[in-house]
This record gives sequence, structure tokens and C-alpha cells, in this order.
Amino acid sequence: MHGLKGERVLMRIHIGERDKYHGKPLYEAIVELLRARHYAGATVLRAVMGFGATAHLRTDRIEVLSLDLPIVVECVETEERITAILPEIDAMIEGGLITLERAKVIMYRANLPPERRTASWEMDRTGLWDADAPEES
Amino acid sequence: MPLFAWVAIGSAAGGVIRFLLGTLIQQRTGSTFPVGTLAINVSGSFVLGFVARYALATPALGPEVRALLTAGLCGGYTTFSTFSYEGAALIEDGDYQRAAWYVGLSVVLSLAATFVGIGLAREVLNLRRRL
Repeated sequence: MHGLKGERVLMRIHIGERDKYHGKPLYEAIVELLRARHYAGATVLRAVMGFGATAHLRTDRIEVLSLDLPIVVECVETEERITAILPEIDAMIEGGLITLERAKVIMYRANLPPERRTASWEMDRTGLWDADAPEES
Repeated sequence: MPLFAWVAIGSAAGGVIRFLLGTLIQQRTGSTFPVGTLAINVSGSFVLGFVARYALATPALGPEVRALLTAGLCGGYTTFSTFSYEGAALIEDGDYQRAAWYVGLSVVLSLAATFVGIGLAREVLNLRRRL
């Protein structure tokens, strides 16, 4: 497992629940792409309300407006890897919104038994943005 | 063709009209109050009031067409379950004032619309008799 701790980039992709890519849900296709490329992780969130570029309101409270709820796909990775995946994501998404923001990863670990934990297991609790991740120092 | 087949045709059309019209109304108003469902239930009540009363009084409309228009079209078009679900959603949100308006308006306006439909059917039938 590569160490993810340190200053990274958080990518947020706003799309719709009904957006498709080759017949499957777009959010699923994006997560599968990121997983196939061994990106650090991805999370899909479904919102309860929102509107986007078309100004169409979506809300889970009204039946006919609940069929295309907003979806946000989040992925935290190094700036180079986020930049590298953008052309492929660009080709997959029709309408949507993508934002990139700087993020500080202070913990990234799988649940391992104590004897298999390495230095990268520790949480960075320094509160310093420029504190190097242990494996990089 | 059995009667249920006529109902099937009517309810397919009614459900699609409800979906398209409901979406249009809700999008146009941009409201989070279920105006689409309300408008559909009220207008459907009016149509059923008229059709049921008018169709029963004229032998021209046989049971097949009546089944298509009443149990089929109006059945698929109006919706009690969506009314209940959206009302429950307002109650769940603690939005009791809008929930009360929604339930009250739905019941009162739908019943009133049914009577207007029945009244209109009566007028049309009287008019036809006089001609």
C-alpha cells in the first residue's frame, strides 16, 4: 500500500443518478475506473436535494423529482494521479461539475493486525500542512 | 377483449400522463410543495366525476370505454399512494403546516372537483336533451 498521507488533491465529481456510461450508472463506471487503476479510494454520495446546470430541481421528497438525484463521487489522490485521470473522466461525463481542492490526508490505512502495521499506519496529528508523511521523510 | 385489457390500456396512458405532467408542473414551479401531485389528483377527480356521470347516462359509451376511462385512465392518472408518501415525507420532516395544507387541500379540492365534474355532466346531459 502506498502512503497517501500528506498534501493531496480531493476531486469531487457532481453528476446525476441516472447518468449512464455504456449502459451502466456513470458513478459506478467512474469508481470501477479508479479501482482498476489502483487509485487510493473513492466514495459515492447520493444527495437528498439539489440542482445543476439545467436548473432542474431534484429532491427525494417529491416522487417525480426523486428519479435523478444528485450524486457526488469523491476521490483523494496525489495531484499527478488526479491530473492523469481527468482526460478519461472528461470523455465519460456529459453534464456535470468537477472541483479540485487541496486536502491534507492525515490517515489512510487498512485494518491490519498490529504485527503487520508499518510506519504509515500512524495518524499525522501534528496539525501541520507541511508535515511530511513518515515514509517520505 | 376482456375488460381488464381495456383497464390496462387506460392505466398505461394515465400513468404516463401523470408522470410527464407531474414532472412538468413540479419543474416549472420549482416548488418543494407537492403541487404536481395535488394538481393531478384534483384534475383527475374532476375528469372522473364528469366521465362517470356522463358515460353512465349515455348508452353510446359501452362498458369497455367506461372501464378504459374510469378504472384505467383516471386510476392510472390520479394517485393516492403518492399523495400519502409525499404527505408522510412532509410529516417526517416536521413540516406539519405544509403537511396539513397538503392533506387538507388534496381532500377538499378533489372532492369539490368531483362535484364540479358531476355538475358539468348534468348540464351537458340537460343540454343534449333539450336539443
